[in-house]
Amino acid sequence: MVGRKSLDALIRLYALQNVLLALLAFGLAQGEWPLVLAGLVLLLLKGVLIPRYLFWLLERLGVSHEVESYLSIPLSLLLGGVLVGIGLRVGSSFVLEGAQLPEAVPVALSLILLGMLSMASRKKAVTQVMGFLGLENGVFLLALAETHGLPLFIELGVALDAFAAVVLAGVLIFRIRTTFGHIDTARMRDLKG
Amino acid sequence: MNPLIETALIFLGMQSLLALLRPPATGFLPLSLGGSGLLLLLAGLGAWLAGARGTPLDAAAGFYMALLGALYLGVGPYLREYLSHHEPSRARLEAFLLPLFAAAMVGVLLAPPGYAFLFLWEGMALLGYLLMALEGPDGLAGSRAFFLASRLSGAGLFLALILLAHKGLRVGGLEHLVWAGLVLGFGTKAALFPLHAWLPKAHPVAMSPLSALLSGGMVKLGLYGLYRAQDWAGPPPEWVGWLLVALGLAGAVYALARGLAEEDYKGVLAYSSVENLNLLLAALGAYFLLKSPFFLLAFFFQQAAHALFKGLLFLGSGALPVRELSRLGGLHRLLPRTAAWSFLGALAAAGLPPLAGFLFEWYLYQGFLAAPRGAGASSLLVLGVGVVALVGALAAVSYVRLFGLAFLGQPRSTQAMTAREMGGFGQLGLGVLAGLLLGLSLFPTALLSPLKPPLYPVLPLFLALMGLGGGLVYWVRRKPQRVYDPWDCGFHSPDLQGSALTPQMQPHALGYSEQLLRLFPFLELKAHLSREEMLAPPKVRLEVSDWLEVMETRLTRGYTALAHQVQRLQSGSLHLYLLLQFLTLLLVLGVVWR
Repeated sequence: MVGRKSLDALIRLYALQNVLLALLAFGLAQGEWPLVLAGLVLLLLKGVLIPRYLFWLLERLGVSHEVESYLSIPLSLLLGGVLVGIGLRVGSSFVLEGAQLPEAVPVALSLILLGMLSMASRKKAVTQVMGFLGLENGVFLLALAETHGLPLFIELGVALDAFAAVVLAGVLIFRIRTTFGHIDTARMRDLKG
Repeated sequence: MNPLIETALIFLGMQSLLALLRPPATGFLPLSLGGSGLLLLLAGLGAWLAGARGTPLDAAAGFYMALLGALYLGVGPYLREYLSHHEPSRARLEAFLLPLFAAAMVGVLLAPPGYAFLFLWEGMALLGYLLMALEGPDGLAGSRAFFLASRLSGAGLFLALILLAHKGLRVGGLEHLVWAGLVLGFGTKAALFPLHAWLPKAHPVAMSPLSALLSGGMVKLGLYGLYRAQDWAGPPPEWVGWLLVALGLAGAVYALARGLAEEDYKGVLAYSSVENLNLLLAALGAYFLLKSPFFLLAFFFQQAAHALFKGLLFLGSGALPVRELSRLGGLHRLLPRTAAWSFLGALAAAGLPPLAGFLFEWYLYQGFLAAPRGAGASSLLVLGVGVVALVGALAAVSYVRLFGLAFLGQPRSTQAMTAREMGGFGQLGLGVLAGLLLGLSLFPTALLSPLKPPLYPVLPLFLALMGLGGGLVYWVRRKPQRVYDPWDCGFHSPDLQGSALTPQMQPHALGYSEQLLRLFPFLELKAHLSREEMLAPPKVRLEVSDWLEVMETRLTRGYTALAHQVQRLQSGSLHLYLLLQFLTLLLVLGVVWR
């Protein structure tokens, strides 16, 4: 996700990531229906609905489908590699006792770090939303790996939360475009005291 | 929980509700606030006298609850009278907020250490701030100082209580950090010496009943916290005791000297509060060091006495037309009852023998004199006797000056001639406090019996002094006398109207204390002479410069400059903000790097 130049590819990658996450949830469910249900909701919401919404958003906004970043592709790939390294290095100390899938904890940490990297380095508002979604997936993976499934209501709440956040972000991006005529957050510099 | 306390809290809640539903609802205040005060007084005294040990109301909490109850009992009726002079919209807000403030103070006493305590503590500070902010632009500096002080106090308490909550962390050295947080948090609220600066700014701007609650009640909760902290955090390290004694004694002298240079009636009272609080902190510190019962007696007794006499004086100040001492004068003719109540309060505050203030000083003397002799550092505590003596003398001067300038002599301004005496409810509130103060002075054992106090014979002393005073008056009266004004050079005689003396010839508020102030090098009295025209009479402007305040201003300036530097970080770039968060996360992850 760090190295692609096209937003379409980014969204497709995100959808793929969610499908894989859902599969992981099914795998860990061991036939318990709350986890299966959570996985289904995840698949439906994040694997299908959010990517479709994002495609629709891009279409409506009429902006170029190109990722604009402060960092060049090789540099962001390099930084991404470093961050994954950091995640793997420190991840082992975050494993709780009785974790279901200790191997996934460093991966989840790396996901969070990568999500933050893309939020901090990308210029367009849409790409920042993508970064946030990546981060959110990392948090979900962490919860999945560390515990034997969070309570169903919390899982559903988190999934809905992410969805609501994306919808809100979409609305906000529309407002940003109508007010400023662009969605380049690098050009907005008035948020200060 | 005790049904009495529950009922009292319900009373306070009902009052707030009524102020919202049927504004301004000030008519119910004597019943709701005063009634809850009576219930709290009974519940608290019961727990204190029985030496209760259970939670949440043990003996110490019971003592403070009784103290708050006594104050509410006096303030309740007074407030009805006081708020009837306010606009209805404002009176409504005050009748809504003040019972909540009162309830929050009670809640602090009942809360266990932890988030409930912090919540109520901050709630109390916030409600106090809101009530003060209702004073409008005049009270801005004072309410801001109050707010900042409560932030500082909250910061210390958060540090201490969060550390306490993680008991596993309590390893070597950490208890020092906990106690540092506690001293900062509770010390700020109790006006520990260098942190006291907020109190003389805040209390004068608050309305009189609120000043009485703040000075009599809220600041005591800081002392309560420090006393109670022994149960939470174990016995304090030795440095806490020394710090409290040293800062407390220094602060008491400083506050009195500074109070002598104060022109505001309520400002003088506020500085006197700082002095009393610092002495109380010193007594508590000495108790931490020596575990001597005298200090504990002094600590508890003076808190009750101070709450009563300071409540009395602050409530009395509500009847004054203006606050500047140099515009008051001669008020004992217009406000005979207020003058009498204030006189009683001033006598107690100055520590004159039969009254409560004296017993406090007596216990302090006993405690310091009984400090162990020998080579140890604690033998130095004997030096405290000198400080207590100095403080006693200065307090007497301070109250002579305060009462004399405000109530005796001739009116110094036209406003001082327009003063109007308070009505029945106001007098009732003052009378309740005065009665409690007299009762406490004459029968101190009634309150102190759980501590089994050694005591001089209070009642015989009182009777002897009364007899002596009465005899003196009788002896003087028997002689033939002629009435004339002092310094009048004999101008005043029955056949001549008026006097050659004008009110301007009376001592000025600062002039009176100028001689004494020369003794204290940290205060400087500067007189500026200016003349508008050649022949116009010169105008004198007196200015007090105080080293501590100068330092404070410099500190503020430096801090503001620093804050501006930090603000550069806030460039407005969203990416920079995101990057900062990112770097913070990386830093936190770096902590576990192994």
